[in-house]
Amino acid sequence: MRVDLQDLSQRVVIVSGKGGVGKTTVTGLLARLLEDGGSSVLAVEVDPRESLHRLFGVQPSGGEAVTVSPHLRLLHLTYQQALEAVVRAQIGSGWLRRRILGSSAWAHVAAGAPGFKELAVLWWLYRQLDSSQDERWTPHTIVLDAPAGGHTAAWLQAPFLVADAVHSGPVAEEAQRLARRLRDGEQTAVVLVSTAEEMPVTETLEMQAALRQMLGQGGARLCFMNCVYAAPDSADRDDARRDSALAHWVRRADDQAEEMRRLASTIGTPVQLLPMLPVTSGPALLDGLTTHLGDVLRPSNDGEGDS
Amino acid sequence: MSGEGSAVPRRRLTVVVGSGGVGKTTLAAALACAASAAGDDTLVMTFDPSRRLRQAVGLAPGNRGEVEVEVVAPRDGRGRLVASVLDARQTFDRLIERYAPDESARDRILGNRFYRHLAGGLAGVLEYMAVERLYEVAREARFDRVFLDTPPTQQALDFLEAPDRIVSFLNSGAVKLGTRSWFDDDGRFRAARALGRVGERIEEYLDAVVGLDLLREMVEFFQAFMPLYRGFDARAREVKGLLESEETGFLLVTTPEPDRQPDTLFFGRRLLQRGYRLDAVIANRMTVPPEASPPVYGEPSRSRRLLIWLGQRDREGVARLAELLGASAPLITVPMLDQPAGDLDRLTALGVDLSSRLRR
Repeated sequence: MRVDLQDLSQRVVIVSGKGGVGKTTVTGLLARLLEDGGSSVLAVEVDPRESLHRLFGVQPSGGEAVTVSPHLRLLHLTYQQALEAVVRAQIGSGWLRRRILGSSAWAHVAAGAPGFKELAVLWWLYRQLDSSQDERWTPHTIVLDAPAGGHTAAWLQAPFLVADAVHSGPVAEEAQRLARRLRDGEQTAVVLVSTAEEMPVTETLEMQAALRQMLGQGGARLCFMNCVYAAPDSADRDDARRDSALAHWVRRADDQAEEMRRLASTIGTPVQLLPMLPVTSGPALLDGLTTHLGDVLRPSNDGEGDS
Repeated sequence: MSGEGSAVPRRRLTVVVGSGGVGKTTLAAALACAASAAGDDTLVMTFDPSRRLRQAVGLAPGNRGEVEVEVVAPRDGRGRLVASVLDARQTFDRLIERYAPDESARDRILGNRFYRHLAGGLAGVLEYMAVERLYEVAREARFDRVFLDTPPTQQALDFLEAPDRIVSFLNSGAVKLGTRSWFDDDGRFRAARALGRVGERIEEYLDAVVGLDLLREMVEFFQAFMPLYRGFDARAREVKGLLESEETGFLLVTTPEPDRQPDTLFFGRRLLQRGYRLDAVIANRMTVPPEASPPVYGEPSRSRRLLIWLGQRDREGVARLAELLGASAPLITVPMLDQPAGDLDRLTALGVDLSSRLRR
């Protein structure tokens, strides 16, 4: 199956996967490619380490959107920010709002209530698209680097879980509305990231199965396979007989090929390989991958996309 | 390789921590195999073993709920080796069964919708259940040595702070709120009625923000939970005491990649600040560069170039990490070559090598 960037014309693109597989790299890469394709893009990360900012080589922002280029901005959105935005939108009275936000019970509910902070982040994302928050600049697409914590599906499951557990009231309504929007293939696309190793592939397939159930249709729209080794050539296989390090390398490359086959045969979405490049992360990695993918992913007009 | 300095004492409990995907589970299993080979009755507890590791230790695939499997029977000076897969929900249910004053209190909690759907995701619950289980096992004293592979958490901090967070959550307003009778028999908000018109506004606001239905469910949960609270609170403190005691040591697993270093250092510092014993930092999966010289003719292949680059990156990464760690903990490297593909013998060999280097 070939990959087409037009598969990602949705307004919210959620990049998900197990910890350490390169979600942030793929988030940055998609933001860059969508921007090159003419979209204005807001790339959002929730992780306090701000590794997306590091990938683009910009200073940590501490919560303000950072302009990378005229059509690309980065934002580190904290859960606290998102939750407060929800309270602000729901309560008109400034006094009560301050009482609520200042109470210790709120601090604990905000930090601990299951699913709520995830709901708040999703709510915040769609709100940016519904009503222009900044009149001078409205993103066409938001790319979210979804946190990995726990099982990968858990994060996106929040609206469905909450909608399941709570049947009436504004939280329930919001959860149901978000669940509908997540399910709507015109509005939302989920992109999975994996590496070609056993555990990540297994979890990615589990995640895809969970997504199919949650979102209906085909689940995730695209899958990126990150850090793929160059296929060993005959000289490498020859050297492997004399050199244990190279023998091990060849074995791992073969294992990777096996895991890629396993993923591709079951996942049911286009799979895009990203090579392991001899560069440490940061702008150099982003540039390297953008160049590598430029031709593969650039929007084409041959009508293969299912827009 | 590194690992010089003071020897790591042999602890009864070893907690293997680190961020996801660094090989915690494999190293925990390897150390457990080595301990059993040395004659100790050993338990390794894990959350999410890979298919290969399951095969290696003989756990049936796809088992739901907690299972304990005897991997090696005690014989010829070898200790028993038992592997178990944790189930957080089961541990939580068991705790509630233990501390509930009577059956109806127990059933109220177990049947509560908030508990069933959402409580599993409450701050640190999964992580707390791992330590809770460690405590149970430690008290049972069936094993000479216990290795706990911690759940994958991106920042790997939740686990460490789980007992504190549970205690502080239980102490917070959220639970105290739950102890009062907020709703009257008609399901109306009690305070709202007493306060007349102001109260109606409060009720309106509460309904607007959270929804009274959800509040009722939560309040019900905490009310049902209240009788358990004292036992639970005391228990969480004991668990914390166990983690801080000399019986327990922590191994922090990472990889040589420069990207991971800030996390590793941060996590290591947090462990030490909490008074836990950071016995060693293990840089796992270090790339071994090729030995043989490249072919005399032509360019080296892409594989070889990448392998050489990775070898250098990892060597520099480890040197830098050692420098940054200083005297706070010994750094031990495990080369990529040693990764066991899933058989007990290789797992044991890795564990024996690793524990001998820990003791050096």
